[in-house]
Amino acid sequence: MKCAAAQELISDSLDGILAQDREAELKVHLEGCRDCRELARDFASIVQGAKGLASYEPSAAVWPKIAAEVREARPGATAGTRERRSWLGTFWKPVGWVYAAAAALILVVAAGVVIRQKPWSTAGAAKDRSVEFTMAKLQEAQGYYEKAIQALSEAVKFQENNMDPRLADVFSRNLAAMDDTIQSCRQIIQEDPDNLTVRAYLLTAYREKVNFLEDVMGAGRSAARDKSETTL
Amino acid sequence: MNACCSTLSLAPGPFLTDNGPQVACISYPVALPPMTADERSWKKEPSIPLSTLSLLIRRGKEGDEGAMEKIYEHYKRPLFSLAYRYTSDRLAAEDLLQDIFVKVFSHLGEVDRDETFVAWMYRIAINTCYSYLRSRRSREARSVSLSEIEGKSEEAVTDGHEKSLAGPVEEAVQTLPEKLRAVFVLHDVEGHTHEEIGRMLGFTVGTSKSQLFKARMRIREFLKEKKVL
Repeated sequence: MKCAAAQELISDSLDGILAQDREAELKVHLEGCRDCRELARDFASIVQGAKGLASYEPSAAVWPKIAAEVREARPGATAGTRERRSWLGTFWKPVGWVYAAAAALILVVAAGVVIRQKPWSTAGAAKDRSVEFTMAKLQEAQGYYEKAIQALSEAVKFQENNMDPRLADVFSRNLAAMDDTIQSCRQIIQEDPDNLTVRAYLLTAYREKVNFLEDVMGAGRSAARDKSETTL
Repeated sequence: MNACCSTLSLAPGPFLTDNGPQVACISYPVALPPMTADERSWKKEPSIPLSTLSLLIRRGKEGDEGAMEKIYEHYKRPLFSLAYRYTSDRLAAEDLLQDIFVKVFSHLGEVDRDETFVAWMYRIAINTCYSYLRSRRSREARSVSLSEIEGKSEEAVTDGHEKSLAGPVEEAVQTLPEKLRAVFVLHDVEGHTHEEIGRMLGFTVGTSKSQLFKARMRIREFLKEKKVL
């Protein structure tokens, strides 16, 4: 037997798939060939080393991501989700965006009135009317922001179900912090309805929440677009 | 099912719901030759009995997430280990694992014969790993500094393994061309037979054997250069 043939048999012999008669031939060759004996020993070490290689475990975060993607890719679910998403997309534009825009516009008007009439320095009836007007406008803006947030929150709720758990956690914590600020401002306004500063803080918090929800909506739409491009 | 599978396969119920302890119970052959017929094919992760697998596939096709999760739980370790040996990066390997299983479950309806499912899944896994390597090579070609950084980080990782043979073998595996690496990992690391590898990679048994021989030769050269052998 030549060395080239013996070397291929060494591999089969190590794997336990060499016929007995070939095994005997190989044994004879190995007894007389130092190089092939060395190769057999090295291969045995390699195979032994390979069997000792670690088996790695993925993190627990992988399965929820797979499940979410598969859920989304499922024919029935996909159609439903996409349909709902697209409906929400068109719903958000005329309702949510218009509310937010209206709120912003009212704030500009209210701020203009406040600056022009300087209610804090004007005396008597004029001051009262100015404060009354500003308060009414601020309340109107507040109402629009609340409607905008409600519309956006409903839209985002569908995306939240398909969110990466880690992202969903960050999303919830951010939202909770904003809601805390809003809640605190509302509490102070309830005790002191004429406090213009806190009303301004409240509207800022509302605006932040609208921007945040809008960003989340945008990110969700981009992710859905990327996913639809994945093919086998 | 071959003789090995009948000895290594476990009862469907507890095996599928709790993979960890079962795997720990399996004893691997310590010495190499001589092997008995039952030892010729060994696996780090034993096969799911075909009847159980068929049931899971059927339920998976119907959209049963629990069935998909059981399939994932069983194959996540070998496929993640395979992906890790192509990426050397845990996060990238997790991304690949996610891609692999999303493709598998999204195309489960295409599985006509349940006995081909495992080979089909591995083929998806290997193709996904090849795609990753190709895109990484393309990125590296565009960025010299990135490949330099990766070279340094690999050196740093191997320093910790110098004393055992597993470390240098792991390092040698990273140097293999993609197809030789697939055959070596599937056969010598994961314990698949040449018949199974042939089905996974679209090879004949003879090609699988010759690729394994070449892979072992390359690893031997690497280890000799490193003066480990």
